Amino acid sequence: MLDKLKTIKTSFQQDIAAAADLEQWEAMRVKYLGRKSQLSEVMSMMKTLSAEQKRDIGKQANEVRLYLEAVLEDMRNALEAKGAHANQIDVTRPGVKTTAGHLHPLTRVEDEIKRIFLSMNFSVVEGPEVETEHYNFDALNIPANHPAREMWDTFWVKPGSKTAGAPRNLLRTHTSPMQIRYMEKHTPPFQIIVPGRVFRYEATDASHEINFYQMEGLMVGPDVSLANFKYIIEEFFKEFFNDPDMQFRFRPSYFPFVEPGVEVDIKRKGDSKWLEVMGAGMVHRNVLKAVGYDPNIVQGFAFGMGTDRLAMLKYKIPDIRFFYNGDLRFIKQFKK
Amino acid sequence: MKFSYTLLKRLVPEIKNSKALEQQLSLYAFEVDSIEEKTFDIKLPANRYGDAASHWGMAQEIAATMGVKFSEQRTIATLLAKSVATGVKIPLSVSVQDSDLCPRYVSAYCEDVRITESPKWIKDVLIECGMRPINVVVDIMNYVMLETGQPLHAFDYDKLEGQKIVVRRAEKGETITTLDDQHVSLTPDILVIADAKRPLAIAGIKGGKLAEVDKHTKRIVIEAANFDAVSIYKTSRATGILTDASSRFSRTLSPELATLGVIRAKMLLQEIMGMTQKGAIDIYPKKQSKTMLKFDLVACNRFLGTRFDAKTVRTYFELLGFVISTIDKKTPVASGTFFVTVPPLRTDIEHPHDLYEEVVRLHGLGNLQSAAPHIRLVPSGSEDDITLKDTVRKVLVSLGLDEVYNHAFVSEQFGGHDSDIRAELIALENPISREYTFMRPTLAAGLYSNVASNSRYFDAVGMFEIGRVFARHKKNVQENNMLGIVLAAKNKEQFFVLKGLLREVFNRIGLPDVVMREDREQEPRFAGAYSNDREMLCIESSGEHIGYMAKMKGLPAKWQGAIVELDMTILTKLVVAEHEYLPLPKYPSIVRDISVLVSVDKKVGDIMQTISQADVHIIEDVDLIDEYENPALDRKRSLTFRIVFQAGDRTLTDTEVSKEMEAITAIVKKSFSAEIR
Repeated sequence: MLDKLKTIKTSFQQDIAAAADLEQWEAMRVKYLGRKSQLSEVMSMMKTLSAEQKRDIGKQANEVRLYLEAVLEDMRNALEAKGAHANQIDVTRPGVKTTAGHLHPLTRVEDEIKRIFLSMNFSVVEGPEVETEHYNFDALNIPANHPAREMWDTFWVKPGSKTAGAPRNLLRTHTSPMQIRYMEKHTPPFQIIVPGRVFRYEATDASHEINFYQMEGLMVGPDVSLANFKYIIEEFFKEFFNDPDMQFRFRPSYFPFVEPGVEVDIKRKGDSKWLEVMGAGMVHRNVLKAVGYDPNIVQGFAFGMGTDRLAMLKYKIPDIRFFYNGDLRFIKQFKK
Repeated sequence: MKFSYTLLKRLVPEIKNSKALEQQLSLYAFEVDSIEEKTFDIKLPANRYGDAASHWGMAQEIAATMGVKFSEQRTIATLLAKSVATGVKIPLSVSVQDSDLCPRYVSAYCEDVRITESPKWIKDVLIECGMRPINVVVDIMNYVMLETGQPLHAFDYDKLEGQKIVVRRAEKGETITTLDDQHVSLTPDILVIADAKRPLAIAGIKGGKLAEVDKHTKRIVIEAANFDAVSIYKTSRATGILTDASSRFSRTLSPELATLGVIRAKMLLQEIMGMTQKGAIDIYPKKQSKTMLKFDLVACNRFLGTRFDAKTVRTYFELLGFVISTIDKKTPVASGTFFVTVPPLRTDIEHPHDLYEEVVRLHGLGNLQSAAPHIRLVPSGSEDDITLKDTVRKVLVSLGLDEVYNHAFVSEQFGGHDSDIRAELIALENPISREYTFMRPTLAAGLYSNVASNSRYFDAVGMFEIGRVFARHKKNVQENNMLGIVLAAKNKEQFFVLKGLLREVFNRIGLPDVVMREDREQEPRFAGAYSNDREMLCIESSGEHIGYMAKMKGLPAKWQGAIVELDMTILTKLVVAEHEYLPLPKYPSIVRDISVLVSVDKKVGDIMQTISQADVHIIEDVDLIDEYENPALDRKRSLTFRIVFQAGDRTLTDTEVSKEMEAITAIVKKSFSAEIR
């Protein structure tokens, strides 16, 4: 068997010189190291030998194998360097174009808002887009025949039947009805955000749409204060616009379902004007009463912001109508 | 609401300039909509018309926020406390028939009126507030309204029939011609001011021609009244007449305000034209009660998250003209618990929370120290359907699709003449245009038009939308969250690309055992205009119908497309959250192809099903790898299937597989009259 190993080696040394390209090299590899090679035959015959012979011949066979492998590897490197493959690809050619799809910019912004609030222990819930007058207005301390209702231009749904006294349906004018729906079914303390589509009966232009998105927030507990609201919102906007030195302005405002009502303005690095970004306030006692809470025991804040507006500010989009016309030239820009 | 800078500055001399005033107002009180020369347009909240829809009230507010004492504060409080009625006998009788709608009615009878122009200082203020000077009487009425917030009206006494003023509901069929020549038909829902016979004014909204003050007027009756807010609001909407007076009354004014209005008007009339006031009648059956609230500093600080002391909040209240008093002898004001008596005009203040708002407003919301909340940690997360939505979006984007959002509406034309479909649509009572008349019952309409509009710029599109669709179900509005996907391309069949993609989506979101089958009964009703009902599959899983997939129709020339719509709520219910490891195959597989020639009406799906079931133990997968149709084949087509054989417990032998192939060949021949090629 030792002879056989020697023969393998000699014959390999003769053959290998003849390998002129990688194809021949591959044939050589199969011949000497393949499953049906002589070396492999020797290996398989070893099991018939005594333990002592096994050790001796095994060692020799292994050396031959290592030798063959080393020579073949060198050979291959040499062939690749000079042969047909040398410098064949022009690495300066452009890459093959490949792409994945694109999320809508409003989805991206909504995701970002959700990420930040989830990191502050808020949960995410959604509600219906067709609402009743009760949830959209009455329970939010906006009574019928009160001029405050004029703050929301409303789309009304034609009643399906002529039943008198049936609750009137409308397209929700804000995500705030979900405050009521959520509070009716949960006990404080909790903190939630509610993303969703809302509707306003108004002429469309670069900054107005008949449907758009809002993000509602609600935090209620035994001692959730206005100072807490300020903290949460400052943290949120700094993170959202990635601007730790952002300036804030909190101004008094009026929404019937909060008191005090607050309007939040921001000024980012490089902004020349204050930007209105949010309406908010402490949840009005009448709203808490409407869901059966005791305003002497629990309190909290609520806020609402326009997702579209935040997206427009973040990506410098000049016209809100881009979001709803399905133009893929627009959508495909949002990659990062 | 428009304010005169000149008058505000006269009332609060500490105002530096209009820029400073704007800053002061917007940070501590109200938003300023615009400033044009000397006109401040201030956005007044609906609950502050009671006090701040007036220059006196606004000046009080400005002074308080600046931390200075409002010089007129005491004078105004004194005027408010005065009694209006005089015992003097006058040739006028007044009656209020509906005191619910008219809680107070003051009439002041004046003689020796000489109609002239008003002095310049009055005209200037009127013009700055966007009003047109008319004559001294009318101008003083308007000027006093601007000063005090109380709408006033002057009737020409000599035009009254029967020396009478009656506040009553209009009678059916009565009409009135307003000062600006509008003819209005009245109904019993509308309150009017009448004389013995005829309506003279629509109460709280607009005066009429009949008793108009003109250049010959010698005697007048001044009205300072209070009307029910809801009734004024409804009447103003019903008649379409919106005036300064109606917008004030519909936002709730205090009946006490009438005192201020009538006394101030008399003062000015006397001062400017030396007119004599003979006497006044005040019908005020239910006097407004005093608002006295118990203030608790601890509760206030808890609500706001602040550390105010009693002295600071007391200062704020006093700047606003609120009166502080002790609760009892043992509790000094410094303890932080005391009574606050609110001026009668502050109708917005009814509860301690309203006081907290005043405190933090005067302090400045911007000066509030932010504080991280102390909360009990609970696991936060998203509702299941939101999580699935996120997953679906990520999967579809990874598969190369772009996301679109469409309007939630469809046009007037939707559903054409199909009355069943039309009956199920949710219609808007006040659609904004014909294009947006109904709520969309399907995502297909939007996606279809997206393909059309993008076909100008692209040769192929792949899009999806996740959104709500609406339909009437019995009496209710049913709102469903749907996923719609379209693939469309020029000159390329997209159906099978979408079908394959859908499989991957189902695998990725963890929806097992999806069946896609032909079923003519389950047509996508609302998407009928965009999909071909003969090239359509219905999609089911676990026995539930989750949606449909169809070839699109009516696309731009040469374009081919396919659409799918799935119900996200049902998907949420069916998806399996967890993956389970499957052992990797230990033994090699064997691949065989079989080509058959079958009639074109034999379905590929049926043939594949038959092959797969030939031996479920070792047939791992069946796929169609080639299809060939040719007129020469005489309504037949050639199909090539690739079958993968694999056993979990052994290496399959050629013989075994060949035997299996023979069996398959036989069954395909028999079941589909196929020729094997």
